[in-house]
Amino acid sequence: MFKRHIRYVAIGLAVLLLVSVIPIQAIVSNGKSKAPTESVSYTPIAETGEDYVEICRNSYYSLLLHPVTKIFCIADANTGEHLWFSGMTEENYGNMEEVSNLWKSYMQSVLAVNYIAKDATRANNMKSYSAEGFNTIKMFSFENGIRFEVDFKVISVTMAVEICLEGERIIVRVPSKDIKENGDFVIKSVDVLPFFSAVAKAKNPDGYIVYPDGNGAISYFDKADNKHAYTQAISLDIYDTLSLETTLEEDKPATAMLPIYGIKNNNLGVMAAITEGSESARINVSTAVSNSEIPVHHAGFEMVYRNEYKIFLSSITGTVSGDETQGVKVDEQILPLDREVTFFLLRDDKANYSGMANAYREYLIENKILTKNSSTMGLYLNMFMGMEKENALINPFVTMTDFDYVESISKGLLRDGVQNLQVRLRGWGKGGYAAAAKSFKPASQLGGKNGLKKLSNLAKSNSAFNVSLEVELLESVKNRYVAVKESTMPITNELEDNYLLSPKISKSKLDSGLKSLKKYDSIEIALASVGSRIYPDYSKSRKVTRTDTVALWQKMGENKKVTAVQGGNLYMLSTVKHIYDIPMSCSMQQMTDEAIPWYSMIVSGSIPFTTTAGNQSGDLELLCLQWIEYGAMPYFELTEQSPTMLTDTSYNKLFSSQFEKWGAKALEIYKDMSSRLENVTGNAMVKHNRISAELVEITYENGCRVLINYGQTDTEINGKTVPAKDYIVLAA
Amino acid sequence: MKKRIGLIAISLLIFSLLLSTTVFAQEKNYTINNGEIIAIPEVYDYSYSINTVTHNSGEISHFNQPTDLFLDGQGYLYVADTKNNRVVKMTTDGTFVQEITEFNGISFNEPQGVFVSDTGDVYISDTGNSRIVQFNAKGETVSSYGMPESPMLSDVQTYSPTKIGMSATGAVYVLMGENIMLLDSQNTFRGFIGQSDIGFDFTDWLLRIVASDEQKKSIEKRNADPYTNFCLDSRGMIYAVSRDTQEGQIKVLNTVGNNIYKKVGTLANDWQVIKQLVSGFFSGNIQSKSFTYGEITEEGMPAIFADICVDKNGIVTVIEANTCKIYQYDAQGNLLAVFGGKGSNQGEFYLPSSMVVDNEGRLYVLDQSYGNITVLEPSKFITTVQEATVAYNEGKYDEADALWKAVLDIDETYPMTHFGAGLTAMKAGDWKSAMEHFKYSEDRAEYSKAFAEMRYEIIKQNFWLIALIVVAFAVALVVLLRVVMRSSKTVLVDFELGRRHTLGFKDSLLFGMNILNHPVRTLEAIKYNRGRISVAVPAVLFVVAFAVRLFFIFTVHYPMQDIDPDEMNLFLEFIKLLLPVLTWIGAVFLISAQFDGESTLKQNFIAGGFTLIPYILVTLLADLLSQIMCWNETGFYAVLVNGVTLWMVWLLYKAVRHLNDYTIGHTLAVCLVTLVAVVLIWFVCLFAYSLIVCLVQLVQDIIVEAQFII
Repeated sequence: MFKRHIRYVAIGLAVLLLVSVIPIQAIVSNGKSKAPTESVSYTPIAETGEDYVEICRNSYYSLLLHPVTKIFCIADANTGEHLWFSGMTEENYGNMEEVSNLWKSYMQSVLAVNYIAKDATRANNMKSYSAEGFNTIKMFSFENGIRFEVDFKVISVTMAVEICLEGERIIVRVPSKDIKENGDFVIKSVDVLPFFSAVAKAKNPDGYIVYPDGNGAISYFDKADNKHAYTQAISLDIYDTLSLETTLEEDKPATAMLPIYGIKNNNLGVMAAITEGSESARINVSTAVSNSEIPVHHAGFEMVYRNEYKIFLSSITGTVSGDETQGVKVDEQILPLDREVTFFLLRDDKANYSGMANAYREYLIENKILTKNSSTMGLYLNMFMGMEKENALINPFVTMTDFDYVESISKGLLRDGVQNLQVRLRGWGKGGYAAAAKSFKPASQLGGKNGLKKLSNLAKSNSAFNVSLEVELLESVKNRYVAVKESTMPITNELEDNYLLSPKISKSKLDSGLKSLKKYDSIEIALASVGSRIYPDYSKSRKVTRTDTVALWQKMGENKKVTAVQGGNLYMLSTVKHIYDIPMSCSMQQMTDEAIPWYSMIVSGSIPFTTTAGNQSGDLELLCLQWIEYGAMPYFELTEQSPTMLTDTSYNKLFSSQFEKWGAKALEIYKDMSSRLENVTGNAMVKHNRISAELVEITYENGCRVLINYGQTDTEINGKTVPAKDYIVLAA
Repeated sequence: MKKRIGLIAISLLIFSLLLSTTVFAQEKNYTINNGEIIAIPEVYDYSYSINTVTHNSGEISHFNQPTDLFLDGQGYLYVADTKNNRVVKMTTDGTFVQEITEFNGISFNEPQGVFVSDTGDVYISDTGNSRIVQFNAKGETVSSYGMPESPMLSDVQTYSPTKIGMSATGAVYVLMGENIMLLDSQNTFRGFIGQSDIGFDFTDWLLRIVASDEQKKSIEKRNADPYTNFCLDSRGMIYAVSRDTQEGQIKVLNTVGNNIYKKVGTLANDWQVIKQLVSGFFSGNIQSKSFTYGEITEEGMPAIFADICVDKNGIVTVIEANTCKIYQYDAQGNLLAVFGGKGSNQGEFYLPSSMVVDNEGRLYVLDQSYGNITVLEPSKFITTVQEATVAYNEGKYDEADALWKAVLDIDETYPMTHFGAGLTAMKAGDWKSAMEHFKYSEDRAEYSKAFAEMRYEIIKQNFWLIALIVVAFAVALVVLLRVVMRSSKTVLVDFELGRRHTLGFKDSLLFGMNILNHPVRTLEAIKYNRGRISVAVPAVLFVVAFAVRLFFIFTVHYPMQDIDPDEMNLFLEFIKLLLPVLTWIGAVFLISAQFDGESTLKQNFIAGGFTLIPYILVTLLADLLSQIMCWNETGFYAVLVNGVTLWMVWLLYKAVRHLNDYTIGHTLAVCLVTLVAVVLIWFVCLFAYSLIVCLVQLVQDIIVEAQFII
């Protein structure tokens, strides 16, 4: 009897396990299950014929391949019209006779390898294009796609790339197992389909390239001529800088929160996304500016397989002059990372950056990375609590706000009708700001355990109130348990006063810290930096790659107590409820024409986020309009005491922050926004349209529209007046 | 020789490293308040840039190393597109209007300056053709001017006019080489203007004395600091930037060439701080400031400004050539904001060559390297700040008050708002809050005024009470001193007469007190009496002196503060106060031993410790006194603070003389040698230290590199 029960229980457990594993597996692999397995049969394709041959087709498109140029093309399934090409041919470029062989082969390559000699100690940028004459490419067809096997002869490297047509998407895979380095050269990085859907300048196209610099940035084709004569191409490292030399510097280069870019060419659009192996890659964008070597607007992903690192050779092998003292070396081991890029093919009214954002959002929802969540408008406050002031003798603790004060103002705001109050505490722990990582114990100067307990109780008793403690587990001022570079030197900045903790240490610090916070059952955790920083650690005992770090960060985010994260990198979106410090503009690189709320559109309707604090802008009226355009929640960073008390500290960035001055204003803005935007909050933004320089229209998924007028005068559009420096909401 | 210079350089470097406390600004927008960087909200937004010239034919061209930009009264921009040998006229949004490439059939050759008068006449410095050409408003050629004739220009080989400007009265100013030349409308040379006095330079003088005639020729002639650019305001004032670091790089020259711009800059590098300390000793002036605008770079270089522009309200904006940072000052020379910077993003610069401002306050920056014009739009914040300073400088105090309040609403930490708020509080008679505001904005003069008012009020209200307290205190002090001195005298006499042989801690201390009024007897007692004095006393005195110094730093009244307690460096304070005395004691013992000296190290140590007694007492007194003093009453205070140093020096001298039984001449010689020895000891220590640092670095490098290569 008992035994039979056991059997049922065992079966039940097994089923449960299976049920729970499958979705996890699905999330983790991001559609990896669809990858062609060994059983796929590949049929070689002969390198003969003048015209494109059809490899496969579905109800939307057919995939064609030119057996001689080895360029593939996606054609309309019904009309047969050639729409997107993998490279430049006479058809989409025009006369190619004058193009040099090198550039021509670059423009026709499916892969371009950046390589370096195994034992090189100097920087050298050598590139080999798959379409170059001395490389050989074997082509195979399979059920729904093509496989290219490229032998880069000169460097003895072989690689394969597979292109599948799946519905309205093209999926490109670069399997790690097919990469073979047999000679004296090793791969640094690989450009995958660098000219897919690229657009020749000669065709005078109407279109642009969009890329995730900041919230989103756009480069128009017709403005490429208006750039100055030394315009540089754009390169965005995904999630965080790949170079560990600059990662802690204040002026570190712009990075991308999402592994995506989009190209619009007349009525055709492509949204490209890395759907696997995005942790070590960058996005390259180049419009055909006057100083471009190639008159083609193009963008692509560069998959990084080895990190390059610098070292000073002053003592032994270097000479004193210039760059000679700087050596360069790459990782010994190649990153064993499978890569997958998905191209979302968009046409007509979907072929624009709004359509691209929609396609990608749908993909993320489909893969459970985003969950639709119709949140309400919230008032977000970041309370700066306290910190130690560095001094030669004693480090006095500066109390800016204590727990009791937070409790009393929160009660006040709730009484005044705030329906959703999100309070985050910064510098709450022992030692205050910048020391919070040391322990998860509340600072006694701020009211200690009792003060925090009271806040916890308030959160427990009032569902409209949430309070989270910000913990910085990545950056550290001390050189202990820190992540090191390939050269075994710690990752640090020029002043050597900032380090990064080893990711494994960060994770265990959170785990142990959470235990000590157990008794505050309604207190949540906000993870600083986690959504904007990933880095490897090359130390022997705690070695992790960027991919491992992402997994650790995700594990941190999976803890129920963790509800918010600083920075909006893709890998954290599946676990957290709120994100903060999302940029509202872009870095305005030389090729950029305009900033757009691209990131905002993608996460809208799923995750509420905050951007610049209202009190930190010199012009709150303007900032409110920007919040609305970018779909950000009203947000303030406040204190009880005057920020003049912080001017001698490292946190001297608050300009005016006393709740006494800002509380009423914050409440007023919250009330205004929550009532006027009631119908649109929590909906996805499906269309963003800049009608004129000062007028913006945003359409939500429920059909409601918001018109924002940044101008100094009232503007009338379609019979509706938008007051100056204001906005209106139009029902569907 | 080279090696020696290297050594000196290393030691200087280390010394300056030890002293350095400044951190270079990383904020994008900031201001500087007495050397401290304070972040401020966004001051200028990148608006757009003009990268190309689109001709009416549709043809697009780029600028090629343009060097000058001018905005005329009609709102047209003129660009001296130097390497394209043309001047381009365009609207402020970049729409092409006209291109001027030649004058009377001769094509321009690298023009570097353009100016348009109120009447619409266009003047172009055709630099490569050594001429200035003039067109009228209709674009017709008027005249061409070559090099004016003047004996003062006899050594000019090629006439290469660059920047050009003209006052309403017709005076023409031309930047030629590094001087601003004044011409009249007939192209007659009227002199160089704004020539600063080149002053006396010790090294130069020394070099000239020892150099042979041949060498003298190769020594460069010292010139006045060169001008780098200038512009004119509507009143005909010349706003010029030069490399002058004595009077300040920014000058506002009136028509006779006198600089009328306030000479205020940031507290410069540490060497200047030391110089200031030295000069402060003699002048009693604790807070003299160096006259450099902008910031000193990490390498110790003062700012070099590429161009200057002034708006209709007298707000001066300059752009630094190397860091590409833009500094904005009000009409009085107060720094309002620092922004901009080098970089490749839009709104950043690489090699700025010219800058103009329009009536709306927008800035147009011409970049020679990128060949573009960047337009920056002022934010609400900086506009309010500018309006407030203008209102204040024009004497509209109520208006200024309201504006400063508006600024304060945005940024409480902005120092100048506190200055404004302080003035308001002063007017309202709220001295305490005024003092707080002035302290925040680091304005010692205004702080002192407020303090004086408060002091006056307190004294007026409690005159008798205060008088009573002062008298009681004075009496108590005198009585205490007398008691102490009497009992210390007793100890001295007992010791001299051999009535007591061993002095305990307390008695040793009392004995030491005699150094104040019987220094010679005390020193001789140390020397001749066989009795024992506790060595703990001088040791404790060293510690106490250091503690008193720290106490002084933390508690001295704000206007007299010479070191910000938050930025105090314990190590540096130790070096400044105790290291000289300690090395002196050691050195004097070693040297005197070579010159028939009779003193022992212990005796020297005891005497050295006792010399700190005056320091301890006077510093405490000065601290107390400072509490009731203002900045402008520092005379007596300075005598106290500086006098005690002299006293100590004198006591050390006395110690050398009496402990060794030297004659005056002998003593002076020994002191001189000791002084050299002290410097040598420091030098050797520094050198050893730098060698060790180098060695450690080398070993580290080798390890890293070995790991890397293997």
